[in-house]
Amino acid sequence: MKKKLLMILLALSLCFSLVACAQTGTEDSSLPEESSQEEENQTDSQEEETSGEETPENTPPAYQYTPVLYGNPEGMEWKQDTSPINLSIYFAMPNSGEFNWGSDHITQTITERTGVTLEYLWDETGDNTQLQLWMAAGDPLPDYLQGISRNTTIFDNLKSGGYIYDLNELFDEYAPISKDTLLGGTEDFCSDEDGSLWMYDTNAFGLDQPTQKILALWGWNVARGDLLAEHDLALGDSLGTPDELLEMLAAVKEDHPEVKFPITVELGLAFPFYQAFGGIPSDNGTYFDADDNNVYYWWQDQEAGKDALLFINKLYREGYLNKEWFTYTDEQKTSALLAGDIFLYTHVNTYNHTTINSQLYENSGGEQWYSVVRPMAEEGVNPVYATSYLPVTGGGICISTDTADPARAIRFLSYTCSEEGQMLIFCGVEGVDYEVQLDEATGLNVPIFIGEAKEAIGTGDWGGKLGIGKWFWHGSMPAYWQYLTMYAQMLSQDTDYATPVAENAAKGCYLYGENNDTTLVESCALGVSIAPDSDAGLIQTQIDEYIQDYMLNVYLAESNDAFEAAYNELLSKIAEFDANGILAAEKSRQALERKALLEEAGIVWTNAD
Amino acid sequence: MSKTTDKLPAKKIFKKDFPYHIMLLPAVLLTLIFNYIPMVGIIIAFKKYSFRLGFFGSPWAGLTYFKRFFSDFTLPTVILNSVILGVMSLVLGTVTAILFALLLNEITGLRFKKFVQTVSYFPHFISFVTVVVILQAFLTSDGLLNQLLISLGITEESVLFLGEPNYYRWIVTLTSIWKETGWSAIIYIAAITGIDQSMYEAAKIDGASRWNCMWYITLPSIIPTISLMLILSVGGILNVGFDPAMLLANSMTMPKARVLSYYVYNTGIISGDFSYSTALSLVTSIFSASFMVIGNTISRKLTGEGII
Repeated sequence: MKKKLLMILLALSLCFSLVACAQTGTEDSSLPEESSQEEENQTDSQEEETSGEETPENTPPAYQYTPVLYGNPEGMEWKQDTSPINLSIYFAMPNSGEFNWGSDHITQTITERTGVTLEYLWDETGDNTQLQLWMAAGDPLPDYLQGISRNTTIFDNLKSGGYIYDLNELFDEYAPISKDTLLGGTEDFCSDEDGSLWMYDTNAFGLDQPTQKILALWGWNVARGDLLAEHDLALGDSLGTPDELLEMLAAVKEDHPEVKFPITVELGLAFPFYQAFGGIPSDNGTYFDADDNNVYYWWQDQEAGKDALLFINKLYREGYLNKEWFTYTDEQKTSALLAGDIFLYTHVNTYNHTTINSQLYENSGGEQWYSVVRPMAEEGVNPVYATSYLPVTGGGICISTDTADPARAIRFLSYTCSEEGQMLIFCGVEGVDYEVQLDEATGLNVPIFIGEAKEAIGTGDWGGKLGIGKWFWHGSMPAYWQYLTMYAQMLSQDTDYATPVAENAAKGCYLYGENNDTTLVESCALGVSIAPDSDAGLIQTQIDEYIQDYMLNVYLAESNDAFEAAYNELLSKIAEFDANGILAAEKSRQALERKALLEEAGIVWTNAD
Repeated sequence: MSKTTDKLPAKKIFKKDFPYHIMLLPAVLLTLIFNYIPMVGIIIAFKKYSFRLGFFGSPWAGLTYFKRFFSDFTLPTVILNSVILGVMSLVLGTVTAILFALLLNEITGLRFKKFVQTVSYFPHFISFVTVVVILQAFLTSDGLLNQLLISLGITEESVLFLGEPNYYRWIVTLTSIWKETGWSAIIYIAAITGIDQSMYEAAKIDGASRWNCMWYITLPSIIPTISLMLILSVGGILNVGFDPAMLLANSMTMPKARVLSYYVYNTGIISGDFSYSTALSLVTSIFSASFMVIGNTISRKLTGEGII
């Protein structure tokens, strides 16, 4: 009897523990509660005229650029409803710095004018796992989803599962004026082949970039300011030609043997060097040659590509590129950067960079880290920059079908794309953070930082002082460095970079200043979307995953012969992966279709005189 | 069970052993809920799975993902990496555990023996994440091992242990041995403890040395245990190497580190291609089960012992 009782008690306790473990977690995996941040709710929102405040005749008008696509016409719909609303935005990346909406005057101003308070939800896993968990659990998704790559299965799931809106429908119903402003004839180009527009430009929170060549995110380097100063270089300066860079590295290595990594190169991000050598950039590693039967090439296959790889190999063989860098985890790289073990950090816009940027900002202390322009192929020939910030190129913003107010969601999106929104995001509040001054060289009015903003630029405290350095991952991190550079140049007015900024604005240059035919086709190339489970998609996935192995052999070849052998093996592997030309043919087909759509829309990608 | 139960009807046996069944019930439920019922999810290997449509609402894809599996020409390298790493870990790990058990058995001092045994299985409880940190401290260019080698004059320059693909498998295997030998040896030690001591006495009377006793008595006596452990382990060959690939591998060693379990994780979780990763896992499971059956058959033929 005793034994039976004991057995039953034991069984019950086991059952109890089973039930206790089966309870759902206490962590709320769904959307968080409403923000408790105070909002200054002004019913009469301060409407700033797009052309700035009314000024006397001799006061220059507000910043203006010559947009190809963007403008700020009256009647943009966001002004119709400025009642308070909370909108949440999911970022497919970890939080790279502490940010609280409403903690700085810029986000407060945005809330005052639009009524919107944004709540940020970061995916700490960095690989969309949180998003997938929400989807699998049937939890409601945040209002905005940002940073999802287009050619991925998860994006396919979002589309096919009805998780995201076709933005064309939302624009048509709630924001037709904005649609015309923002898409202006490029609707077909920006939409998928079935006519759906699933995501909007990554730079919805910073669309200024496509019109400002120097603001493109790709290709900025970060250098230790103290070592840079030893070579009479400063914030925003160019590293010169590749030979000049080598000289600088040699000097740094000799004078500072304690610097373990004179230069770093990321394995999957070598194509900025290709651009530095005059190659036509694209962010996906391919090159679309309109003059050669529209054939797709890999950038490595181009002469500029080989030159770039040879240069990287030279960096290794002459001891400036330490191969131990390729064994480091992201955390180790961050530690090395913060410990001053690196002179020139050639990382581009990636999650890791944003994390490091935030930490650099936090820890810059006595050592400044400056953004510098990567080497140029020839004296005086600045490298061109790619930008992938078109609605078709991925990483943009989607609006989820779980949003409670799709009208407000699409209208706030269009607000951020408006000139007013852009200026707030990138420059701050006029009169507080910047004022518009006349640039005599071009006759344009450009924003010049004042007050605390101006002070902040020199101290690296940009993000902390102004807030906009933190509030959006693109606007915050890489742009922080870019604006340090660009506006420092404009402030100093004695370097070459002040002029190109204004010149490009005047020219209405959308992507690059030169070779507009190539510009056009590169835009088409960037708009290619390969379904991940298609034959072409599978090839792309394999190339992306495995080609790095062969690239590393090229970087680390110990001799010229070894370099040639590794280089030829790299090319043969790329060819082997796409032996039947399936991927190339699909990319080519889509790019040509997009080119035709642009031409139909009458989009002229030339300098506007 | 008593002899009388053999003659009792099943109903009466059940009634007699009812408390044991009750005690077993939660474990059975646990296994059913968390091991058997989820197997229904295998169906998504044959479907183009969508979160919103669920397991049964998603459209059929037939054998699409299995065809992809066999046409993925990077997969042979991945499988080869898995097999090599799995075999290295299995063979060296088993041999080391057995040797350790045999040597431990020869220790006469009981307290020292217990101390060694206890200390030997501590590494089993250390998370691999911690192990990686330790390895990085030892094996980086300015790590302890390089400092030792340079100070002893064995090398002039640092050796990039963590960057050499040829070292990767050995680092992983040796780490695995260090981590698991003590724990794995427990089974063998238990088996050795169960050997009839009169055999040793008889052997000593016949003039057998300690080596003879070990070779002719101890080892043959634990052959069934060795077979059992090997058969159970051989089914997991294709699943090894995930933690090292995630935590220890880097750009330089990834060509040798890319194993099947990591490939499935990359495909399923990172890329969100759950159908393909399920198909991969299913095929892997079939191979693993086959290895177990083959291993069992070989064991039966060679030793007469098997578990199936």
